[in-house]
Amino acid sequence: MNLVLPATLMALFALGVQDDKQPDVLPEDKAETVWEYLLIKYDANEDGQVSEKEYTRGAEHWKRLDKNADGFLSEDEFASSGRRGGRRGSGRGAGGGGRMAPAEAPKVGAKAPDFNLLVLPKKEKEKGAKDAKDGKAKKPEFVKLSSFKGKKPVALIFGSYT
Amino acid sequence: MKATYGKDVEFLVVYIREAHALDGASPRGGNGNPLVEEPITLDERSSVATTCVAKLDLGTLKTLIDDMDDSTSASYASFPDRLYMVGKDGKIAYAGGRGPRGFEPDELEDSIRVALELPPIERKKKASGEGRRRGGN
Repeated sequence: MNLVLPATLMALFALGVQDDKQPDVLPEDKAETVWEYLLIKYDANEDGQVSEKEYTRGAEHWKRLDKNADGFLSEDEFASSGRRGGRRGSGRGAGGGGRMAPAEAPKVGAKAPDFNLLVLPKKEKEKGAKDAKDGKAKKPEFVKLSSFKGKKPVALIFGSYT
Repeated sequence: MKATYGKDVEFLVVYIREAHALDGASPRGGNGNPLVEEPITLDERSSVATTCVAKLDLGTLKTLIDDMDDSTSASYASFPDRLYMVGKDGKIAYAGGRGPRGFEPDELEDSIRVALELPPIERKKKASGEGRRRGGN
């Protein structure tokens, strides 16, 4: 969540840390800007720019990054990165919400849209290590919203890291 | 809030599409903001969520991962962030505004207290702009 949301969530809840697994995010102490991040991650030949060939995350994401569409990412394309107002890519604005068209929010009194979503696993270090040693895969856990009906209210907090 | 009401209310974080992935539609990153590429797979989204949980000390909360078609986020119009409460009857008891401006934890708490038949909390009326956060999504 960006610095806005984290502050909100931290105000809401008691804390407890469980670091589950190595994140697919470069450690922040290795990159301080978007350009540094891209260079470290993709500039395989260390020529100070990132070619489309070096970039591995697909054409859609490439097009958002290659602002001048010259087939290379260079530092001057990211001079304003880190501040609000970078060039907007195609598709989604602030209300976009992803690949699906934004729907109207369900109103008070309406039936809550049901879902059945994967639970982010928490690491039980000793058990996990033992199970891994025994060759047991952790069974994914899912939560279905409607399973709480008749039992307890549910507070839903929607958000992301950025 | 979870420490106070967690025995009677289920708190679920629903982890959705990144609001400001560095290669997203509204990029942000660096200068103190997390540098995150927009996850392409559920595994990637889970990985970023894991980092988020660790960095923000959310380990006491159960975190759910929205599918990559963002279907749950869409059905709740929740992007970039939003609060809801669903009553025991399965109906929406509280629907917060869209974040960041509409993200009001006090309102969620008030709704919880109504659901639990607890007396309301006396709150000082916020001055204009107080509690609203700068920047955001």
